[in-house]
Amino acid sequence: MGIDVLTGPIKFDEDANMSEFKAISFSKKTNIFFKLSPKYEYFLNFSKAKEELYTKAITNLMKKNEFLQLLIQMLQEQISEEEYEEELLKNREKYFIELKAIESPEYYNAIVNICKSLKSSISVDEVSEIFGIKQGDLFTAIEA
Amino acid sequence: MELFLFKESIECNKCKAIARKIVPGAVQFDDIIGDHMKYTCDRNASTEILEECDPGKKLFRATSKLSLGDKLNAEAITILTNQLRLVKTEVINNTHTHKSVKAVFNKYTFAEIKYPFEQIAKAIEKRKGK
Repeated sequence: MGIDVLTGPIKFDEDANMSEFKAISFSKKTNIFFKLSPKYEYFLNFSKAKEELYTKAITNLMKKNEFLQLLIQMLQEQISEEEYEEELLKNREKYFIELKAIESPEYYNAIVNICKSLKSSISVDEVSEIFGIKQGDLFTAIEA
Repeated sequence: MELFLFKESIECNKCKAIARKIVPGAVQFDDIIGDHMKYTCDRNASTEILEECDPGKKLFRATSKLSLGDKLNAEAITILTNQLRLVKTEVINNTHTHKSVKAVFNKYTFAEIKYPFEQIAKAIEKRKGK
């Protein structure tokens, strides 16, 4: 016995391969499953992507902030150029923003959604830096 | 060859940049370039290849120009360079009205037009249309 979120109850064969359905267990006692309709599944992925992007944006902005603080320290001659470079390479995770490819269409849609909600306009360059996404991938997604 | 259009780019081992402002951004990691630092050259910016890339190097952008003397001219240019130390800049007289900042990047550098000169880009596109 299963329930489709949008269309209501559906029947499952006992031998049916449950992994075929992108289902989530509702209750072990009653053994009822939710089969997600494509629309609902998209909505779930979209909100998950958006949440991940917000976290990533905050992390990347913090990394940039840390790096600029280090740079200021060097410019004010509190640390030498050698110390600056050593610190940068020693704690790579603290300073370096990692650029990756766009994982799925939901991610691209979530980025567009976030950018639209901003009051000021934002360039591809800045989007790439904030969300840690390769610029080339962004251009391809925009042109598609 | 002089390049003026949006997204046109150059890649080289040594690059000269002249602009009203050359501002450092974040440090980033990419699987093609590796560790690199980002700069933004703002207002009347130009970058020129002083030394060509090593042959066989995987390009960051397939359409990049690689020949010695290739030059980007634009309103704003983005630079990605392997040089993690802050580049040394000097103030020079570039135009009659304004002073400019000059910087030389001594490691692998990728430069791309961020905002082209609007009127020049329009004129080039118009000529191409004919």
